[in-house]
Amino acid sequence: MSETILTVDGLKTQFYTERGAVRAVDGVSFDVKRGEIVGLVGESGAGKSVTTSSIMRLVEEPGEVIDGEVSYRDRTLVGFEESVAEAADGRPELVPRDEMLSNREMREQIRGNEIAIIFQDPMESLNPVYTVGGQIREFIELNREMSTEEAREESIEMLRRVGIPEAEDRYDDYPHEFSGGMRQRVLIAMALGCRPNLIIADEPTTALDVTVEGQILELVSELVDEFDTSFIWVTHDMGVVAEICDRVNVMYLGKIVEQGPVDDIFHDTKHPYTEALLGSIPRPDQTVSDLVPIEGTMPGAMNPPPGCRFHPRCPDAREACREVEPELYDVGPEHRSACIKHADVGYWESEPLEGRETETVEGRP
Amino acid sequence: MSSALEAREEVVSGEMLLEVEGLTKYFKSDTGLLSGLFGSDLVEAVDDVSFDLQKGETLALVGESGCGKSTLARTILQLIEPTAGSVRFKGVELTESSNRKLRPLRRDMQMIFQDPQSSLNPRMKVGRIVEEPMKAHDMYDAAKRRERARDLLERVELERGYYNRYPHEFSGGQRQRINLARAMATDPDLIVCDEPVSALDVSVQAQVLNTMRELQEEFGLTYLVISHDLSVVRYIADRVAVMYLGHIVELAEKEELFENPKHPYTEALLGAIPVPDPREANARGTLEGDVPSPIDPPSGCRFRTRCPKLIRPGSADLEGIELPEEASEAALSEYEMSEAEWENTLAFTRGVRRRSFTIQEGGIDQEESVPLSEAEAVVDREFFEGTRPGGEPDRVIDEATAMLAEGQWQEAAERLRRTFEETSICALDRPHYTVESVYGTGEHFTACHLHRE
Repeated sequence: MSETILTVDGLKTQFYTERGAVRAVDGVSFDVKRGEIVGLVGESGAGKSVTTSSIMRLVEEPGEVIDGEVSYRDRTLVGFEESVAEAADGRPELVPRDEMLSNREMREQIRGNEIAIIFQDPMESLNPVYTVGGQIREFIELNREMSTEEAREESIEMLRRVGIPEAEDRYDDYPHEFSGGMRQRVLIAMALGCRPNLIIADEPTTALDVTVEGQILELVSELVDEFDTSFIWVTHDMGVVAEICDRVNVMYLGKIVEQGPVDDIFHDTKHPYTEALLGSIPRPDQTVSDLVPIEGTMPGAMNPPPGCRFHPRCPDAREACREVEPELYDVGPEHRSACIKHADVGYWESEPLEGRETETVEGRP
Repeated sequence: MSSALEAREEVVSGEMLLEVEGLTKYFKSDTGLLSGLFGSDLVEAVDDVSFDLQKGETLALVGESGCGKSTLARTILQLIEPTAGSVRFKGVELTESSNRKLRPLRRDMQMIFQDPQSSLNPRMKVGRIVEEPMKAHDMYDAAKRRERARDLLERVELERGYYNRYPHEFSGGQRQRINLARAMATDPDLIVCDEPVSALDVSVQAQVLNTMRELQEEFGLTYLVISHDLSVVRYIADRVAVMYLGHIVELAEKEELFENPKHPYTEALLGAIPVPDPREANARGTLEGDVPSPIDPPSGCRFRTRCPKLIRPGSADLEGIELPEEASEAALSEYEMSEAEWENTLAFTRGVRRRSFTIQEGGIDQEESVPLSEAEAVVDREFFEGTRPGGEPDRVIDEATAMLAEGQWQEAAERLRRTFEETSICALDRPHYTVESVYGTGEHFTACHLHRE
């Protein structure tokens, strides 16, 4: 079995607002092995992007990582310990541990050369007043300690690899001269150029046309084979997940509700949310006569429902789901599901929920 | 021609509601001060598009960004003035009608947009938003309008009580329902839906799509749905038109189009959609390159510059097609080669154009020259591997290789393009064929010369 390069354990991130704390990521645990593509799937508001920014320590005010461990190989990206002094409410306060990397160390040792991140919007990630080639070159120069000339050659080679036509000529173009698909490829070239071990891709193909998306997925599979690069692939598209992921984490309202190998997630689905999600998507390869939508909308993370967070929309919900907060239970090899059906905590004895709440009129926090 | 007033009368389900013929829209690419002096390029956004739409059906226009699907829809609604062609809605020619004459007809044609956020005025209450179109068309009195707005909210599965709320209080899916209610307010025949669910989360998409279907059944609505999402299209459409760079390349009933696609672009598009099933994965056959510019687009079939099945020059029957000098029958007869030889030749032609390889090892500056033998070795290794055409094509490949050795990439690309691409039937004639449907009985139109009898 290949080496585990990233471990996330019990990660919690909160955002402080005037109306209270929003628990955007609430106890998320998963790991990534070398040469593996791990999916982080869910609808908007599930906490996927906050999870990735927390791993990269890019969460900004008013947000804060408050608990959990993230370790990359032998280094601690996020780590806490109980402080000696007690907080006002009598409980020990959590403070960052000594071995947790400083912001400077994160910048110099981790971001870019060890873990790179590709964002959804390529226009916001490229500086409009510098040439595309110059930006890739600078990035490679800084992260791989190459001379300017070497870095330039490497940049052109990377541009060609990601399928930019006439790479030498386009090297001196500005971002606005590239189409959306090409800009996204530039970001991928930039991330790859630094030869990181792990690339976090946050919905990198969502804004692209399918044929361009196909080109990029093809490229990603090639890269995994060639460089043994690992990926965390954040998406809401179950098609993309099925296409490239090895293992999948399904998120709902700040928690992972099911995790497992991709085939199990699709063919031995355990959590009702995953099941409902799969049942609600139209398919390109067969004509479905009736889709079954998931009832209601995702509630805000400010006041998540008690017990299982999915219970107000869950077709299988029973009384016990309102009270018992599920953990991730083992349901197969490397396959876990956070539904109390799988545990002996009174689900099967309790009554089905009557008159579940339907759509709530509530703006997102 | 019937008058606009008569046209208000009902069109019966199954009869023709909309006929679009030869519709064309060119934009000027430059409207600046000096454009008059230097002349400006024409952007051929929509070029000679024809189809019709029956009452009660859903036709989907699919294609990638920039293919002209939104321009087409807006041109049909006369929101953009067409350059040429005709649009007949309920028997009335829209392109020749004055705005005043169009006005009563607009009641029967409504539109909903992609972004449910920005298409609702945040300062207006939901009730007023839904009443607005009725007011604009002087329909009913105030009390009746209010009543109808509440009814409509209920119809789209919201609550009557939402009448007094503001749009920001609603989620994306609910906002799109408000848009639907507004579009329904004037009791239209046709609703043009521009990417109706693409801004919504997957689980909410299904809710809105189901509501759209129910409304269609109940009111006999006709939808023209614009979408880039073929999965959504497969769920709601009856017929599908695939667009590429301003042309409709294929149009057929849904099942026929998805199960028996006849145009290489449709095939590529269908092959590229990730299927939500890991056991079905690896279906993606990727298309090379990007969509060319709609300014001065490729002649004949616009997809030919990327088509994996470009027809070998001289291999198709060119009867009835006017030939340019370099593509005379005699010249074309010299392009005899095997399938594999043609594939390699085409890959070389495109590789040179896209500069997807280099001649010198680790070389960056392609302006410098390299020894001819080195260039020949690279070209043979990268593209031909022993399977290389003889005769005239061989001579042209040699010529191009010599140009590459001198660093003249553009000249080489031009030479190859003129010889191998511009002489194909795909470049000489715009294809237009009807083939037999395997699924269903509807007409299957495909714009590909592979189906030339």
